[in-house]
Amino acid sequence: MKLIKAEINGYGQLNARQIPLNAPVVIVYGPNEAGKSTMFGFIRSMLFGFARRGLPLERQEPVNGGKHGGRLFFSLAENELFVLERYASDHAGKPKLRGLGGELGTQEGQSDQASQETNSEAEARYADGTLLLQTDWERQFLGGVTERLYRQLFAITLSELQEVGALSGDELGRYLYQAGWDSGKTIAAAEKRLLQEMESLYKPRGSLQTMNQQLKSLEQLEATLRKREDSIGVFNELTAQTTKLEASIARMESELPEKAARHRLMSKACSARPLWLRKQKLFVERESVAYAGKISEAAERSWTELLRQRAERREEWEKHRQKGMLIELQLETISYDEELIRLGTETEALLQASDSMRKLAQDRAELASELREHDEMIARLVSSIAPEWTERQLRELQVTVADRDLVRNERQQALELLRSEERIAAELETLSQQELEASLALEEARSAAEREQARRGRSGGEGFEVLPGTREALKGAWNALDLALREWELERVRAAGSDGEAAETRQPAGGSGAGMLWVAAAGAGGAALALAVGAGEISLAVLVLAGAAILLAAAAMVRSRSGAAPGRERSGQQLGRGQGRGSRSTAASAGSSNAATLESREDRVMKALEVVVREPREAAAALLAAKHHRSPEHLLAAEQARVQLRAAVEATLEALLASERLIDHCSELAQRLDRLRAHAAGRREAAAAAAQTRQAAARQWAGWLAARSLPADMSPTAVLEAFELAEQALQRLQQYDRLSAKHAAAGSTLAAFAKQAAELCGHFEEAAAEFAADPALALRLLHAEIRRHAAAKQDALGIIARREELNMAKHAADLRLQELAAEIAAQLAAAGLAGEAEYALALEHRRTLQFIHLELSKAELEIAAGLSEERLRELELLFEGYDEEQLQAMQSSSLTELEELEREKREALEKMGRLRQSMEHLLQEEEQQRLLAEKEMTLAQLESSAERYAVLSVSAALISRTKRIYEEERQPVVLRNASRFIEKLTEGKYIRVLTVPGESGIKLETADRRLIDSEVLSRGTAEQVYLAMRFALAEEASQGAKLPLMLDDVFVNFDKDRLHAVAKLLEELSCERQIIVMTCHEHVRDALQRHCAEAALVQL
Amino acid sequence: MTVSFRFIHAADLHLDSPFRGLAKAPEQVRAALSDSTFAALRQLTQAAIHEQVDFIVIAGDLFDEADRSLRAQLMLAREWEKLHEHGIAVYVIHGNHDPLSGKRAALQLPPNVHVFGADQMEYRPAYRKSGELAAFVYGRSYGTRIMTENIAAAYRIEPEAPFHIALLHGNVDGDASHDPYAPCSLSELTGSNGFDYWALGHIHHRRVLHEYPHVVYAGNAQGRNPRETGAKGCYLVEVSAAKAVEMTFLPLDVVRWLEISHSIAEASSEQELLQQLESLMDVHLLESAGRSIMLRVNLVGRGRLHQKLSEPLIVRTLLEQLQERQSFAVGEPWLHLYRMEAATGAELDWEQLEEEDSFAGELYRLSALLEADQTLWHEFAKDAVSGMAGHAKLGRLLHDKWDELPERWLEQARELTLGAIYGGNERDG
Repeated sequence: MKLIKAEINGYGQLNARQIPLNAPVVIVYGPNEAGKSTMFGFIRSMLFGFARRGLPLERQEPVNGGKHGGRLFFSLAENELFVLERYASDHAGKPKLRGLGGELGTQEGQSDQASQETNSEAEARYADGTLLLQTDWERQFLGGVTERLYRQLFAITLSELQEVGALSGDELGRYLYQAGWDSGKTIAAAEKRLLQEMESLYKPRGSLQTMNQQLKSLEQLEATLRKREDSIGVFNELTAQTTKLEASIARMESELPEKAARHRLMSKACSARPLWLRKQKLFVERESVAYAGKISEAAERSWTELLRQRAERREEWEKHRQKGMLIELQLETISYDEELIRLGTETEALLQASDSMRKLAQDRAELASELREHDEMIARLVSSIAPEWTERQLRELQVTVADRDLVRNERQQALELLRSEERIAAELETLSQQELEASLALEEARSAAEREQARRGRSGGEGFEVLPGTREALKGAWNALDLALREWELERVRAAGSDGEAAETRQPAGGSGAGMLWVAAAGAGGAALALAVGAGEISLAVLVLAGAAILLAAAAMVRSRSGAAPGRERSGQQLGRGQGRGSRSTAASAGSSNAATLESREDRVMKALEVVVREPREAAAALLAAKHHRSPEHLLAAEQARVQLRAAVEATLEALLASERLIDHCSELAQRLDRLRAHAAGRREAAAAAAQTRQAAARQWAGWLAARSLPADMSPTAVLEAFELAEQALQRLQQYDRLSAKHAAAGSTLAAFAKQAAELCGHFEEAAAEFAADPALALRLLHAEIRRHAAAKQDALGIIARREELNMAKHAADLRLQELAAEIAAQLAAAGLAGEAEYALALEHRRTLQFIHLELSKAELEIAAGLSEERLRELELLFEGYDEEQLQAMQSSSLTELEELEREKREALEKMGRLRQSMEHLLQEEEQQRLLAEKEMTLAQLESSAERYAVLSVSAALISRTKRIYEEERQPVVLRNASRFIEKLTEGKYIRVLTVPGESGIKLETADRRLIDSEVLSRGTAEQVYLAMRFALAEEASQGAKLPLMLDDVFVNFDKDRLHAVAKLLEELSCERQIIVMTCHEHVRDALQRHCAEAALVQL
Repeated sequence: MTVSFRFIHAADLHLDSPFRGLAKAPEQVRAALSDSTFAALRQLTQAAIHEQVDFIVIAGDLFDEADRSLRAQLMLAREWEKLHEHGIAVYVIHGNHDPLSGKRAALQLPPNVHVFGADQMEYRPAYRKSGELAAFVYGRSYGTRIMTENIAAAYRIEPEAPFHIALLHGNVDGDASHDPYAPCSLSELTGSNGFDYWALGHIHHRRVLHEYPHVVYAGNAQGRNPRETGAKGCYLVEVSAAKAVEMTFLPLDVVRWLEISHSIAEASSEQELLQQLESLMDVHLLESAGRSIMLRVNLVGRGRLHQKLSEPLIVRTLLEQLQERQSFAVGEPWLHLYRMEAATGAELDWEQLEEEDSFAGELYRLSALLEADQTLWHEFAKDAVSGMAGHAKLGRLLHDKWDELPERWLEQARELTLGAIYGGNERDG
C-alpha cells in the first residue's frame, strides 16, 4: 500500500488541508505544533477508525472547523488507485472506499471522481464508493493488521518504540503468530482459557482461587489440629491424675476413721462430762456409807431370813394351838360299838358266801334232774341189749378186745360158709339145667335124623329114583353113566356122519359161525362141570354155571339146525372129555364105522343106569330116545331126560350129606349129656360137706354166748352191737355215780351255811327279825351296821393321831424359835452392832451403797459406751486434764478437722468423677477423627486441584513450547533482518539480535560475540535495536499488504553516524515500503534528504 | 519334634487411618470409611477365632499414626483381650507408621500379646493351643520412623525350634512405590538362614515373593485410599507336621476400593452413558459379597461424547447424577462412585495431525517427543509446574507429585490443548 495523498477535512488543529504523500520516503518537516502528530493520527484514524469519544486526545475532534474526517488516497499497485473516505459523522465512522483507476490528478488535489476507467476489479468494485466494515477493510486492504499491530509496528512514535523494550518474549511471540499465522487467535483463545482456569485455580499470591482457598482451609485445619490437645497425652495425663487421686482418696479414707474417732471422743468428752462429775460425787457419797459394805450380801440375806423365819414360826405355833382345840371338840362327838366291829369279818365272809350258796342250791336241783335223765337212759340201753338184762349184768359184762375179735372172726366164718353153700347150690342148679337142655337137644337131633330118613325115603317117588344110598357110590355110578352116555353119543354121531355131510358142506359158514359160539359155551360149561365133579363137591353156583353152559350149547345147536349136528357132536365130545383134540380125530375117524360099537355103548349106558336108577328102562328110554329118531324133538327130550337124571342124582347127593351131618350131631349131644351128669354128682357131695362144717361152728358159737349170758340166738353182728350199747350204758352209769356224789356234797354245804348265818344274825335285832324272811338281806343289814361302827372308830382314831401331830409340831416350833433367837443374837454380835434397829439401819446404808455402785457403774457404762479400753483411758485423761471449755474448744476443732477432711475427700471424689468423665469424653470423642478426615479431604481436593492445575500448566507449557518452536523457526527471519538492520545501524558494532526462550526481553550480540541484554543498552542504542526489531517484524508481519511505515521523530536520540545509517537503511527499506518520517529537526530532515534520493518533503 | 499348627499372618492394619484422596463423600460413606480399619481389625479377630488359629503374627504398621489415635490403641487392646480369651497369642512388630518411639496410651496389654523390641532381633516361642511348641517367632520393631538399616541381615534362628517365623517390616528388593525402609534383597531372605516363613509387612500389595522358605507380604487388611484397590485381608497359614505350608487368603476388608475403566465408544448420548454406568455399578455391588464398594470409573476410549466430557463441569454433573442415585440403607452394603475421570480422546486423526504443518501438528509432534523421552518430559513438566511446585506449602505437600510428574498429565494436556485448538477452529469455521 502506498499513500498518495491525505485530504484532511477537519482533524485536530488541521482543517481543509491536503498533504501529498506520493513518494517512497516522505519527510514531513515542521516545527512543533505544526500538526505533524495530528497528521500522523489522521492517517491512523483513516485506516483504523476514530478513537472513542472517551479519548479526545486520540479522537482529535477538529478545533478549527471542518468536518471531522477526510479522505486518503492510496494505491495498491501501480495502477490501482483508491480513495478512502471516513467521517466521524457519516456511517458511524465507517470507511467508504472508491476506486479511482490508474491516474489521478493528484497535483491539483482534485477530490472528485474525474478519473478514467480502470480495468482493475477492485476499482470496478469500488468505483461507486462502497461502505466497508472495518474488519473487511483490514483484511482486504491492510493484510489483517489490526490497529494495535499497526500502532506497534507501523505507526511508531518514540513511546511506542520504547514499548518494544517492555515486551516479554511471550508477547513478542504472539505478535509473531498474529503476524504470521492466521490461527493465532484460536491459540490465543485456548491459551487464554487455560490461563483463566489456571488463574481461577491458583495464583501464587491469590486468596480467592480454589487452591489458595483449599490451602488456607488446610492450614486452618492443621492449626486446629495442632492446637488440639494430644489425646494420648491427655489420656496418659488423666490416667496419671486418676492414679494420684486414687492414692490420695485411699489416704483420706484411711485417715478419716481416725479423725472421726477423735471427734467422737471429743464429743463424748463433752457430753459425758456431767456424768463424770456425778460419778465423782458418788464416789464421795460412797465413802460415807462404806462401813455398811462390811455386811455381806449373805449376812443381809440371812438376817432377813432369820427375822422372816422367826415370824413364821410364831405364826405357826399359834395356828397349831387353835387347831388342837378344834380337834378336841370333834373327838368328843364320836361314839361306836367294838363288839359289832369284831363280827365284821365273819359277816362279810358269809355275805360273800351267800351268793355262792344260792348258786349251789340251783346246781343241786339241776344235778337231780340230770341224775334222773341218766337213770332213764341206762335203763333204756340195758333193756335194748336184752330184756332180761339189769344193771347187774351190765356191771358184770367185761368186753375185751379179744372178745370183739373173736366175734368178728365168727361172723366172717359164718359168712364164708354161707357163701360156699350158696355157690354149690347155684352150680347144681346150672348143671341140672344144662343136663335137661342136653337131653332135649339129643331128642331133637334124633328126631331130626329120623325125619330126614323119612323124607329121603319119600322123595324117591318123583323123577328118577336114585339108587345108591351113599354118596360115594352115587358119584361113582353117575360118573360111569356119564362116561357111557358120552361114548354112546360119540358113537351115534359117528354113525350118522355120512348122512350129515351134505348139510355140513352146504352150510359150513353158518355152522362154523354157530359152532364157534357153541364150542365156547360148551367148553366153559364142560370145564365147569368137570371141575365140580373133579372136586367132588356140590356147589350150586357151579351147577348153575354148568347148566347155563349146557343151555347155551343147546340153544346153539338149535340154531345150527340139523346141518350143525356134526359140529354139535364134536363139541359134545369135547364137552365130555374136557379136552383132547386127538380124541376128536380118533372119534371122527371112528365115527362112521359101525353100529355095533354103538350098541355096546348102549349097553354100557344101561348098566350104568342100573346102578344109578331104580327104573333103568325108562331112564334109558328117555336118554336114548335120539337113537332112533333123529328129530330135534327127540334130541331135546333126550337132553331133558338126561338133565332130569342128573338133577335127581345131585339132589340125592345133597340129601345124603344132610343126613350124615344130623347123625354126627346126635352122637355129639349124647356125649355132652353124659359129661354133665357126672359133674352134677360131684357138686352134690361138696354141698353136703359144707353143711356139716356149718353146724359145728353154730354149736361152738352157742356155747360162747352162754358163757356171757347173752341170748343164745344172738348173731355175732348183734353181739358187736350189744357191745356198743353196753359200753354206752356203762359210761352213763359212771356219770350217774359221779353226779350223785356231787349232789350229796352240795346238800351238806348249804346246811352248814344256814346254821352259821342264823347264829350271826342273832347279834343284831333288825337282822334277826329279817333273817327268817331272807337270810341274805339280814346279813346285808348286819354288815351295813358293822361298817358304820367301823367308820366311826376310824374317824376317832384319825383325830387322835392329828392331835398328837399338832402337839409335836407345836413343840418343834417352840424349839425353832429358841434357835432363831440365838442365831439373831450371834449375827448381831458378828456385825458388832448393838441391836436389831442398828442392824436395820446398817442394812439401809448398805442398800444406799449398792445404789451408789449401780449409779457409778451406770455412769461408767454411759461414759464407756462404744469406747475401747484405750479410748477410755484417753477420755479419762481428757476429763482430768481439761475443763469444760477446753473440751468444747477441742471438740469444735476436731469437728472442723473432720469436716475438712471429708470435704477434701468429697472434692477428690468429685474430681475423680470429672476425670472419669473427661476420660470417657476423650474415649468417645470423634472431633479429632472428623478434623483428620476433613484435613484429608481438603488435601484430596487440593491434590485434585493441583493435578488439574498441573495438567493445565503442562497444556500451557505445551502451547508455549510450540509457540517457541514457531518463534525459533520464524524468528530467524525477523531476527536475521533485525540483526542485519542493527548491524547497519550500529555500523557493525552489534551483529545480532536474539531472544532467549524462557527469558523476557531481547538480547544483542556484539561484534565480539558478547550477549548484551537490551535493557542495559544506552537509550540511543536501545532505540536503534527496537527500531531494527520493528523494521524486521513489520517486514515479516505484513508481507501481503505492505503498509506504510510511519516514524514519528524516533531518531532524536541518534548520533550523526547512526542518523545517517538509519537514513541509509530507510532508503533501502523504502524500496519495498512507503516510509513516512516526521521530524521537527532540520538535521534529521537533511540527513534523510541527503540519503534518500526520492524523498519528498512535506513542509507543514 | 514338629507339630502341625495354623496361624494368621497380617500386616499394615493402619488403624484409624483417615481416608486420603477423597475430596468429598456422603456422611455414611465417611463414617464407614473411618470405621473400616477397625472393622477389618474386628474381622481379623473373628477370623482368628473362627479359624481356630494358634497365634497371629502382625508385621508392623498397626497404627496409622502412632502419636495420634488413642481410639486405635484402645480398640486394639480390646480386640487383643478377645483373642486372649480364646487363647490366641499375638506377636507384633511395629513399623515405620507406629514406631516404638511414638506416644503410647497408658494401657495394660493382655499377656497373650508380645511386642518385639526395637534394639535387636528377639524371639519368642509360639505354642499351639493344646500346648505343644509350634514355632519360634522372631522379630524386631522400628524404634523410630525411619529405618534404613538392613535389619533382616541380623536375624538368626534358634536351632532348637521346630519352625521359624520371621517378622519383618521392610522393603524387600526395593519396591519404588514404598519407602525404602529396612531394605534387603529377596535372595538374602531365601538364603540359607534357616527361616521357614518370612512374614513381611510394609508393602500394601499382597504377594508371595518366594516359597520354601515362604517370603510373603500379607498386604494391608483394608484398602484405605483410591490407590489400594481390590480385596484386602490376611493370610491363614497352615503348617503341617511335615512343615508343608499352605496359605489361604482371608479377606477382611469391609469396604473395597475398585477402579474400573469404561469405554465411551458405545455411548452416543450422556443418557446412554449414564445407563451403562449404572448397570456397571449394580453388577459390582452384586459381586461384592456383602462388602461396600468405593468405585472409581475412568472413562476411556474415543467417542462422540469426548468433546462434552472434556468439560470438567459435564463430568462433574454426570458424577453427581450417578451419586444421587446411590442409596445408603443402614446395614446394607453400598456402592459409592467417588470419582469419575474422563480420559477420553477426541476423534482426531492422529496420523494426519502428525504430518500437519500447523500449530496443532507442531504441538502433537512436541508431545510425542516428550512422551518418548522420559528425561525430556521430566524437564518439561518440572518447568511447567514450577510455579506451583515452588510454592512453599504446596511444594512440600505435593512433593510426591512434583517428584513423580506422572505422564498422564501429558496425555491429558495434549487432549486438552488439541481439543481446545480444534474446538476453537471448529467453532470459528
